[in-house]
Amino acid sequence: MFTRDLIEDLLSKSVEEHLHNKIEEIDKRNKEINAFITLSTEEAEKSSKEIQKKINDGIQGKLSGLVISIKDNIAVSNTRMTCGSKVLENYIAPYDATVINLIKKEDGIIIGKCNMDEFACGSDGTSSYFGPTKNPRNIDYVPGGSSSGSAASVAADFSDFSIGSDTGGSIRGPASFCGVYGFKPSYGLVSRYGLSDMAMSLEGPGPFAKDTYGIALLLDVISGKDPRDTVTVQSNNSYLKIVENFKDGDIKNMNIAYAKEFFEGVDENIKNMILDKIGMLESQGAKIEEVSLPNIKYSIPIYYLVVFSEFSSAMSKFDGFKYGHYTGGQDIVEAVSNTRETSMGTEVKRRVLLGTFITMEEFKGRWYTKALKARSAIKEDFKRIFNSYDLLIGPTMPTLPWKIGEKISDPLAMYSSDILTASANLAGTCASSQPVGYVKGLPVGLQLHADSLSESKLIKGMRAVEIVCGGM
Amino acid sequence: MQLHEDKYKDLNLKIGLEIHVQLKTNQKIFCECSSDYINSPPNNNICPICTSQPGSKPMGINETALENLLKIGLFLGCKAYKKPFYIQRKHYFYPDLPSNYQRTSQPILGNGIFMGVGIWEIHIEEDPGRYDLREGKVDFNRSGVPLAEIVTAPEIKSPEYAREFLRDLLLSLEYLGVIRGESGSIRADVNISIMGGNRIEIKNVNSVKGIYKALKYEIVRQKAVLQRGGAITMETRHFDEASMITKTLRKKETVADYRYIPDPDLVPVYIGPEMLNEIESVLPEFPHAKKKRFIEEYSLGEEIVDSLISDLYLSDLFEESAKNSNPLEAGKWCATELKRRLNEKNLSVSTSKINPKHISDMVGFIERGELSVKNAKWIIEDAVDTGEEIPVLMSKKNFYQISTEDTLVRIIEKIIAENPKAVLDFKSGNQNALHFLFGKVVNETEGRAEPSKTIKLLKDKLCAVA
Amino acid sequence: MVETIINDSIIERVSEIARLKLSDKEKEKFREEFKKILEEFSIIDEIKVGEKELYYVVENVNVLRKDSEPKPFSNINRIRTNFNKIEDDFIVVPRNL
Repeated sequence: MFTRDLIEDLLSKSVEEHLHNKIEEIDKRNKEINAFITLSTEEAEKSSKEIQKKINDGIQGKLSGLVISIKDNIAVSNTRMTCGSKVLENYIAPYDATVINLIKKEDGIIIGKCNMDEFACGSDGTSSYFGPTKNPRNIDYVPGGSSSGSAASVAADFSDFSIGSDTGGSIRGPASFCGVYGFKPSYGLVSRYGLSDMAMSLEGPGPFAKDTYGIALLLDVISGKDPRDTVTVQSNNSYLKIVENFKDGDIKNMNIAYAKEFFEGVDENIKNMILDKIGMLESQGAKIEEVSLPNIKYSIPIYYLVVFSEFSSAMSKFDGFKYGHYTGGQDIVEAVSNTRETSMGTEVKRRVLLGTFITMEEFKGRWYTKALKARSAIKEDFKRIFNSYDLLIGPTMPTLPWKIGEKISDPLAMYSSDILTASANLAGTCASSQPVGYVKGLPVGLQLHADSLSESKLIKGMRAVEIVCGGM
Repeated sequence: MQLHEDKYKDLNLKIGLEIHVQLKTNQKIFCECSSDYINSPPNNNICPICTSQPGSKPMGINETALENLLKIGLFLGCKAYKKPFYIQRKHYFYPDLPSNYQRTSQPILGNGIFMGVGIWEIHIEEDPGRYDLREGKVDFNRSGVPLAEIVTAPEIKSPEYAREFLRDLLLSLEYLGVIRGESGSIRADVNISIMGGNRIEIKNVNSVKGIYKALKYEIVRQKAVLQRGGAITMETRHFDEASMITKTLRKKETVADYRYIPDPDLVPVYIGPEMLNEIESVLPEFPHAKKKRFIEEYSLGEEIVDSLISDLYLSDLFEESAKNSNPLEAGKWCATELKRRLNEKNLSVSTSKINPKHISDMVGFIERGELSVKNAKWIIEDAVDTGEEIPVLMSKKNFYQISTEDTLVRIIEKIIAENPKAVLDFKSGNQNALHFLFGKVVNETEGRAEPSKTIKLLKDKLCAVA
Repeated sequence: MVETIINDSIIERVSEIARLKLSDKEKEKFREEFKKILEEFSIIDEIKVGEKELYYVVENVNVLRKDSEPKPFSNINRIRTNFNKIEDDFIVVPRNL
């Protein structure tokens, strides 16, 4: 397994050298790819020396000098945090997010803050105030969003891992488009303290890595109950052990479903590739059955209505007084309106306005309340499936990555690319994307779903697919 | 209290209050900063949570804040709602609100009563910071301090009653140990309508005195409007502390759509029966129970009892003093004269120098005829101010009355002997002579002769003279 | 089918409540888009919904916090350096006379 070998390697080689290799790659290609908004190479170098000492003394943490990039909506103390927006262009976070604390404790080296769609409002990585991120596999194409820089940094080998956030596919989508592993943990498994989230009831931090081992390792580090986030739950598993103890025979015991709706409207080539991999799993003994998730087509409107309402609430804090961009004005109303108008991008404004609209007293019942009632239907669907099956399998994205600039004008077109990923967020369940091949030189991702807090099943599934597809 | 209401009899006053008190805790409601913010330099008692830094999330509700709020509710006779409550986001833009929404819960308890006024509901919320409108300055030290909001029914019938209600409510809450007692620790939105008309809301009045003045002003103002043939439209007003009048808020600010949504960052809270039982077990006697007991045990009248029980410190003082004196007298003096004096001086039993022995001593002297009712009122005032023992005060003020018959008779006989002409005048029907002789007795006793007894004995003795 | 007509006055009100000072061009553009988006999203009417809104996907309740000694934050200075304008430790904002 790649990551495991890498860690072993680091124990005998130099942490600093490993870091410098990454920095070299960044120097070579980041200008072109634009995966980073802020680089913390000085702090990284300092950390690498400290971690080396610990390795020499045999007391290193689980991440022992591995290099991690962090999506720029997660707070790293005394480091700039922009959320990809002019609003926070010069904001310096005064504290560490919980996941950052945990990573630092286990001796991960944080190399920088990754580019992202502005305030996570995007699915392709082109709406950042700091310019679009390019797909390292082919720089004319989008890397996916909103954790665009995170996925790109792992794909371009600027870092070993990354931490992004997934609201409706913001980890899995870019993972699929960039050909890396991405994981959306169950809601509540990973603390959101320090994540400037777009939609509080849907979103959470999650790992990017180059293999299942890496995903499991990071999950072990970042999951668990946190008094700073009341929705978190206890995590008792070692996901790494699950990967390490995986036997080929485990595939035979897997009960896997695929929903026919997950293949509707999907690019033919992607469809065929995924079906092919499903066939391979079946030939290895897994039980595969077709099921129906009839409410999938409603997941986009339900998802976005919930997003709009929570997003407009989350964005209220940006008035320019306490932090961020400030324009000023005659009085407190004008100053705030001017500030927000001149610092927020178009999609951000669109969502703030729509969210305000659908939570106003006279319109609330028609949109907001209805969407939340409908949300139960999606959750019930998944519950029903996972009563009988361990996993759901299908493609991550309905299309291949598109060319940069192609989908910018029509918001609805952008929204529809979340069709295969958003329902997991609505239900709070866990899901992953892993690369299974290329079409026209562009990566294709395979998505697995498991029930809420059933990460062990999901990790097993990922490992199975990894092996079956010729992984290490 | 009834007396005040007569003044407003024809106005059909309906007054309701939404009272905010700061709950007594160590930490703020959603973060670990200190809730004792008064002595901190500006923006020094803050953290990422109470300044709403991007990415920050509220921590679980401060358990003591919730317990203290439950104590308040149970004490006011409320019932806790059976279903879980959640914290809502109430959105409005204002510089003192770091998130530009305030976290405020759904009602937690309701349907209580205090001093004859219904308590509709009680819920918990976070205090905003402080925004000085005139200076354009914001300080977040107070942001996140836990508040209880107590919403009354519009059953308060006069500004005077409102003042008494608030005073006694605050005293009781202090007694329970559940609120911060510093100045500025009560704020209220005041609702008033007169003669069945529209409701006027006066937002954010910062003191009991302010609430009283705002109500007085509003009554005058509304009466004037109606007299001129105008009508009262529903609106929100602001009370200006400096000029003691209410002013209309700009229309823009009165149209508010708070777009309430449950706060996704805070999971619901369910108040179970175990939690309630535990809290009930540490509460002092409830007002209605105390009322019943006072009436039964001490045979006090209802009006006296009502006046005593709403101030827990006062009722404690009364009970203590009643151990050593006539409860009827002690109760009467505590409920009327003492309470009046304390209110006048803006003191409470705990902040003044009065103690139970004062009352029991004083009642003793009155019953023995050594202290006149008139002078007793002065004595109470002195006791409240100085705390000195009653006998000392009585000596200082020369209040000791002579009412023992033997002593009086001796003096009367002496005066009769010394004033034969006046005696004859009296005998021939001249009432003035009686007053003259009475005056002589008073002089002889340096004013300490107990009047009614003296007159009676004097008359008796005069009649006995041949 | 969108029952509400998203007209200028609604856009005006929404932008006021949301504190966004939109240009006329923006108002027009958003008005068009909202109509389209909400029209598209009104297919949620087809879904058979239950009575209860799903506000929380987790089962946690009663996450309360013990009220112990206050823990002052260690990096208050950094919070303050982000203030737009500071004077005598206060954040300076427009007045509201």
